[in-house]
Order: sequence, then structure tokens, then C-alpha cells
Amino acid sequence: MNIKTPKALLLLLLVLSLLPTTRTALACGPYAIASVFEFTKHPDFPLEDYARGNLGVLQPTYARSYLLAAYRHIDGTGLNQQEQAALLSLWRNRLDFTWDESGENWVEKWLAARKSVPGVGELGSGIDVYRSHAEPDEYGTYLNCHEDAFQNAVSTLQDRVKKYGANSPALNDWLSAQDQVFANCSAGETIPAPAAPDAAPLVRADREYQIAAANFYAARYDQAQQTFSAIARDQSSPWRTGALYLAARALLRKGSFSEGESRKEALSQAEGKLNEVLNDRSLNATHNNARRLLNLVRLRLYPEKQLTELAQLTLRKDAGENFGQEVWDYTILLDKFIGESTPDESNKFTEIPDIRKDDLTDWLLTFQYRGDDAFEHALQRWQKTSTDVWLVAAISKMRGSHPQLTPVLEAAAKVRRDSPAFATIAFHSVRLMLEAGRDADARKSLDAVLAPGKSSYPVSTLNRLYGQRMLTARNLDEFLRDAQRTPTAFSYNFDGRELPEDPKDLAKEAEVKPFLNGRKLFDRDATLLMNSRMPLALLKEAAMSKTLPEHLRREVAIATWVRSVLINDRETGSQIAPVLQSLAPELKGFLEAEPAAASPAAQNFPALYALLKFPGLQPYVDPGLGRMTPLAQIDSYRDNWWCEHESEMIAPLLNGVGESDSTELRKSVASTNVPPFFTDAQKISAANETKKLAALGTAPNYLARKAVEWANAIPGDPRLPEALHLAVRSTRYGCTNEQTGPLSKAAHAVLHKRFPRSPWTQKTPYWFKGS
Amino acid sequence: MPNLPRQTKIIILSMLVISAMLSLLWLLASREKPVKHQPDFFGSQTANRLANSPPVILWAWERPEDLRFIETRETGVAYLARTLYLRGDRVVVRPRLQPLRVPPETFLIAVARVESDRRDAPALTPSQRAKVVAAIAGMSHTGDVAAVQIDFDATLSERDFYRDLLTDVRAQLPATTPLSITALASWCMSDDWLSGLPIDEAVPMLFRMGVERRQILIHLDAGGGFGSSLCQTSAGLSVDEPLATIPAAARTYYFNPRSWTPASARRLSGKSEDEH
Repeated sequence: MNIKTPKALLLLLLVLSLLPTTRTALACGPYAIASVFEFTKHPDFPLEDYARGNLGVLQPTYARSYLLAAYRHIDGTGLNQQEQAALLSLWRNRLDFTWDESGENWVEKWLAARKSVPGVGELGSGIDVYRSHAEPDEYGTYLNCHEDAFQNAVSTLQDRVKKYGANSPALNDWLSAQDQVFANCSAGETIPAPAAPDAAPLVRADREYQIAAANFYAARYDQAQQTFSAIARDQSSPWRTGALYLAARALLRKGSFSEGESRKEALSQAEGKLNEVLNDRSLNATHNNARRLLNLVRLRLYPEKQLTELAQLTLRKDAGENFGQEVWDYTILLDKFIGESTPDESNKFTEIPDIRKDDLTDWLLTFQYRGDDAFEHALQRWQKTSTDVWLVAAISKMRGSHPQLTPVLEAAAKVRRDSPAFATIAFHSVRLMLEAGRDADARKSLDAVLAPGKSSYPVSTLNRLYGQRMLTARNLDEFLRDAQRTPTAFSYNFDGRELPEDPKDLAKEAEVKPFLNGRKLFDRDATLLMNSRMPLALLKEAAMSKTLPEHLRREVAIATWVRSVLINDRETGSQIAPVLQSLAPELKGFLEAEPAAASPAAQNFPALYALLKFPGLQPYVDPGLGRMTPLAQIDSYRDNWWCEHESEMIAPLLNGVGESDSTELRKSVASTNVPPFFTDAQKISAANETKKLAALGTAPNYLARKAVEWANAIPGDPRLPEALHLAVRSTRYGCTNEQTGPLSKAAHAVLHKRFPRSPWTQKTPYWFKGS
Repeated sequence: MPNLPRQTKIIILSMLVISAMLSLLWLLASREKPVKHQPDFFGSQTANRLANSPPVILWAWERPEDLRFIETRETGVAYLARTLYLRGDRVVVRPRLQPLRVPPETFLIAVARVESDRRDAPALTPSQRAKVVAAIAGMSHTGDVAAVQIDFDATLSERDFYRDLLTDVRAQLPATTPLSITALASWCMSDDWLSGLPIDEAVPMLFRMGVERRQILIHLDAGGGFGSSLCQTSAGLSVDEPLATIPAAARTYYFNPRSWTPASARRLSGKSEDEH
């Protein structure tokens, strides 16, 4: 058999996998629940598996913190339990898009503590912890009063109540000053007056601290820094230990909110103060906080140098308790250099700022960037280092026609099955084999990788591998076996972040519930082939195949029957009708052909009647959950019957993809090839049938035109008034275009003229212009 | 009217009949239109509050934006100022945390995005509404804000709440401050519940259209417009979803999933394709 490599489909799948799907939280919608077969922004859930090293097929579109974890696993450093926990916390934090309300809780706890003091009244306007920047940045806000400020206030209050008594003037003074401190959180400059010179030392020390804090929150950073520094020099102050750290914090804020020399000067001073803290053993209690702050200061002061340092810190084995923060800082800093989104074609590898100075940053950006420059660099790095991390980068970007293909595939074959890089390298090896026309090798590799009991890959990875194996199918059964996949999640994906819905919530939705227990569905690569490249004869076989479960056979049988009607293949229609009837009992009585004696035109009218009655009938197979409205019911979002051929091919692929990518998709769809078992005759049949379907146009136009033909052919048919009414209805609820109006009007006119007293006519007061 | 000429009698009788008919029509019209939600927000003094807005408005979402390069006669800025989460009976207000820089003369619209918590459904009570209204109306006092926009994809069950909310916000805003809302495209087409809302415009969002995308694009490609008059003055587009057909509008809002650059803003007007 002449086996032809399905390069075009591979290209299409590559295009699909590389399309940018970045979305930000500006949701419009409405959105439908969709099955997710392959995550692209993050690994599969639970993320614990990924953190442990079950990486699956790595995607360059993953957020960089996931790729950092992958680097550590692949290069053998791994992640200990503490590091895994730190990363899981970071990932959950970033994936959780709900607003943290703890700000309100801190304030509430302070207000509750304050209120517990007898005789203290309510604070009039509460406390807002956010403060607007000064002009010209007044449209931005920052979190001014943090949790630690309120915690500190609560514990100090409790202590002073014990010391002074709840009703004492000293406590009352302290509370009034503290109210003034927090008044600065949202706006203004309210600074408490100094304590009386003859006041008790603790009262004076407390007041100095409150004055420093008030200056800090009032954005008077010089005064805050000076006062905190003075407290740090006061050996008798109970606030001495943290004061130098706070002085640095004031300088950091000053530097962060200013520009140019002033920024640099303030940050340098902050760095000096933090080093002072870290060199003073008596300030040991603040060393951890000081270290974290110092990282932040250096991040702003020497971003490029700090990026390299952070990369080295995050790669240390057993990196320590700051690992999570270091990864956080590293990835945020990287985002600042090259943007949050995954690079696309407009981002040139050669234009990356000079930050690829360490291996992690170099690998991460090379893996993420597209284009020949990134590939050549990856190949060179692999040739130089012979490491798996660089093999992953090189093989994922290589084309099957590259002269270095053989050494790369040989190296890939040596990667052990228990390596965290195995799935990625296996996937790309197969891709390259297919591109190079080595279909048999590809199939053999896939069978080995997917051998029962030998793989525990994430569902997304399994689906990617099944997608590859589907392309190597030697017969229809193999194709159908690999065309069906288990969704890894269900998501509304309204913000493009592929966040799964809670199964408990989904269980309440009757249409989705049956699919929550691993029931398989078709992914879009499979339906694309079925809808655009599979001839009716094969589709019919698929509908009858026991390889498919009943719910998928039903979908294929519907498409087969409708397609047989539309392209006038009566033989196939009559063969599939009993199958469809058994799979969709609601169609019973609607699928019988007209008696043979009737005219050829009349033979199709019963089928037309069925099409009119059941808006869920369509000649295409939907990917995923598909149309969830019952067959006989109009779908609220106009997913009724079918649209024009091209949009049916493109629309499912555009899910989550911008319109700007559709041209590329259209080209790819047009050139999509098929698995090797398709014969030339089948390919020609499919092409002819596709042409016929495309010529029919959108469903309402077809239905209205055919209903009028029916009325002209058999004027006395008792089903006609209803059929004409339903034809007009289709022009309201179906996919319409500028030709719809006249056809709707014609069906409406025939109905009203010939059947003026029919109840169906009464139900059809209008025709519809379409759009 | 015994002594009047017959012709005069006919004229007088005709006038009486016409007057009676007009009175009846007026009465019927008055009965049909209760004015519960329609105080005179569109009086002559405040008519067309957005008349002076530039034709292009850039949405500046929650990311650092330095837009000092814009030409303020041509381009305005609608910046996400606050996000309000409706959770149970609470309102959690998240202010803008990212910097925004604009030239001094910029036509500036403060945008409030309202989101309903899907796990802790909003109570939609009057007290919750009052908190939202205060947070939104308060935005008009920031800097040189010229208008306020609300971005709330209200579901069917939230529409009464939203309608009342808009009425209350309008009442609290200065009379000359325009009030804009974003609108799902379907609100502007078949599902027109916008009529009579006390707003100056509803911006049809022609991107991220979800399940309605196909039908809306076909509608636009066929030259179809928006039925609701409130939707006819503006359009909301995204730079990563260019449309084949863009409805004519006095103002076009642009969303960008990345921070704006001089090059990406220039591309909107087709002035230059260069990006440096």
C-alpha cells in the first residue's frame, strides 16, 4: 500500500497547538461549557503530579513557573517536598482569580479588638487599606497598609490594656494616635503629636513608633525613614529590633514610587540598611524578612543581575524556605523583561534583551520562542551540552526535513522511560518520524509508549499521543479507537485561562453530568477529518462500528443520515436509517423513505420533514460536548441545523482563538491530509461530497427552498402547512445570510396563499429577513 | 349651534372630534408609559454628553500602561479603575493596582468592572446595590475623569438589579458626566433590554463573543447593524480579533490583551505597520 504521510494535518495540528490563546479578564460571552482535551496554559490537575515530576508533554505555552519546575526535574535536581509545596502554593495563588478578601479581614480584626476596649466608639468611615499614588500616577492605587500592621496593632493593644488598664488615659492616648496612624492608609497626612517629655518611657517609645508609621503610610518616606532609624539607635525602645528593617522599607517605597536618580539613590540606601540589618546578629529576628526585602530591592536596582542570581538560587538543590519567593520574584522579573504572554511570531528571538546569561533563563526563553533562530540555538546548546533539557528544546522545534534529524532521533531513543522528559521527547520523535514519512516507525513507537500498563501520563498527554496515533491508523477501527478521547476537564474558559469547573457544580447540569465519569468524546482533530475528508461510505461504517460507544455512534449516524439526504444518496440513507432510529428513538417514524412509486423529487420529502422537525439534525459531527439541546428543540444560541460549509469547518477550531488566526487555519484545513488507510477512491468521493455539501449553503435557505419545491410538487400533501411553517421558523432560528429573506418570504407566501385557514398559518404571522 | 352656517358647524364639529381623539390618544399614551425608571436624564443641558469624546478610545486594563504617546484629539482612554465582586450580600472592591500614565488633556473614562461570584451568588439587595453605586460614582472624583463606564455582563436574573443600579449611579454622577456601559452584542441585536436605560451609550462588545460569535459575525458581514439606538454610536473591538466588517460608529473602543505601545496604537489607524 502506498502510505502517504499526513503532513498537512500535522501542520494543522501544530498550528492549532501554537495559536496564541492568551486572554485577559475581560469577559464578554455568553460562554458555553466546553470539554478540554489538552491544557495549554498549565499542566493537568491535580498539579501535585506535575510537581512530583510527571510532566507529560511539555508545552511552550505553559506559564514560566511550570517550565522552571520542568527544568529542575529534567536536569536531575528535582524538587523536594518543601519545594513542591512552595510551587503548588504559588500556582494556586496565581490560578485563583478571585480577589483575596483578607484585606478586609485584617481591618475587621483590628476594629473588633479596638471596639472591645470599653468606651471606645466606632470609627466613622472604617479603614481603606488602598491609597492612590501621587500625581501624575493618581489613577493607580497601591496596598498601603498591610496585614502585619494590623496584627501588630492588635497585639500591642492587648499588651497595653494589660499594662495600663482598659480605662487608663495612657491607653486612650495610644488608641487615638493609632487611629491617626491608620487614617493615612487611604489618604492624607495625619501625624500624631509627640508624647509629653515627662511621659513614661514606653509611652514615648510607642508614640515615636506611631509617628514613624504614620509618616510611612502618609507617603512621607524621608520622615518615616529618619524616625525609624532613630528608633533603631534607641537601645531602650521595644521597637528597636524591627526599626532598621522598617527604615529600609520606607526607602524601598520611596524608590519604587520615584524615577531616575532619586529612585536609584533611595533603593541604594535601602540596600545599605538591609545589609546593616543582616550584619547585625542582635537583629536576627528580622533577618528572614530583611533577606526577602533585599531581593526585592536588588530586583529593582539591578534587574538583570538579579535575574541571573535568582535563576541560580531557584536551581539549588534543597533551595530552602525562600524557594517559593525566589521563583515568584524570578518569574515576575522575567515577565517584566519580555512580557507575561507566551511569545508569538511578532516576538523575535534575536530581539530578546541581554538576559539569557544563565542556563535556566536561556532554556526557558529558547523553549518558548518560535522561529528558526530559537531552534538553531537550541540545537547548538544540545550539541554542546548533550543534556536532556536542551534535547527537549531542540526536538520540540525541529522539522522532519532537517539534516540533523537522525542524531536527534537517536539521542531521543536513548532517553529512559522513567525520565521526566520522556513523554515530551517521545511525542516529538513521533512527530518528526511522521514528518519524515516514517509512518511505520511512528506507529511502533506510539504503540510502545501507549502500551497498556506502561503509562501513567496526564490525560492531556495521552490525548496528544492518541491524536498522533490516529494519524497512523491502518484501518477504520484504529482510527475510531484513537479518535475518541477523555476530556481532562470541562471549562467555560471565559477568560482563556482554561480553569476547570468544579465537578460538583457540573453534576448539577443534567446535560454535562453523564460525561463527568470519563465518557469519551471526539476531539476536534478527529471531527475535522470526519467532516472534511471522510467519504459518506466510511462515515456509515463508523456509525455502525462497535469500536465507538453508543453516544458517539449516534452523533456519527446523525451526520451520515443527514449527509445522505443532502447529497441524495438514498442507498446509504436507507442503510443507516434503522441504525439511527435505534440510537435516536425520538426519530422513529421520521426516517422512512417515500414509497418507491412516488416521483424522485417526492422521495426526499419525508426526510425534509424530519429535518424541519428536528433542529439538531446536521451533516457534521461536533467535537466535544457538541450541541446539548435535545434534537427536536430549538437551541437558544442558534446552534440549529447547519451553517455554511466553511464556517462549520472553521468554527469549532476557532474556540478560544482570535479571528486573526482564522486565515492560517483556513489554509491548513484546505490542505489537510488523511490517515494512510484512506484509498484514493475514498479521497475523491469525499472531495466530491464536500463540494456538494458546500454548494447547499446554510440550512434555513436549503429548507425553505425545498419546502416550496415540495408545495409545488405535491400541493395536496397534508404535511405541507406544518412543513412550510417550520421552514419559516428555520429562517428565524437557524444560521442565515443575505439570501435567506427572499426564501423565507416565499415559504411564508405559499403558506398564507394556499392554506389561509390552517392553524400552522396562524402560527406564522411573519417571515424573516435573515442577516 | 343653531344659528351658525352649516359649513362652520362642520368645521367646529370636526375640530371637536379631532381634539377628543388627540386627548384620548394622549391619555392612552400616558397610561402605556409609566416613568418609573425614566426621569429626565436627557434634558437639553446634558444632551449628547459624549459629543466631545475622541473617535478612538483605548481600553487600559489591569496592566501597566504608559499612554503618554497618544494624540488626545484623536484618542481617549478608558481605564479599568475598579473591579467590584458581588459575593453573597457583600461587595468586594478591588482598586486599580497598576500604573497608568496619560497626557494632561486626555479624555479619560473610569471603568468599573462588576463581577458576580459564581460560587457565592450575589444577593442583589438594595444595600448591596448602594455599595456598588457608591464605589462607581466615587470614580468620577479621581483626577481628570470625564466619564464613567460600567462593564457588567449581567445575566437575565441580574438585569433588574443592573437597571436600578444604573438609575442610582446616574443620579449620583454630576449631570454633565457621561455614563457608558459595555453591552453583549446580543443585547444590541435581538435581545434589546437596553431601551430607556439612563445611559449615554452601550458599547457593543464585538470580541470574546462566546457562543453567539458565529451569528453576530454573519449579521455584521451581511451589513446588519444594531437595533438599539444606544448601541449605534460606538463599537468595542479587540486588536487580536480584527473583524471583516465593523459597524459605523462615532467612537470605537479598542481592547488589547497586552500593554499598549505606540506601534500597536498606530496600527489602529493604519498609519504605520512598523513596530520598534
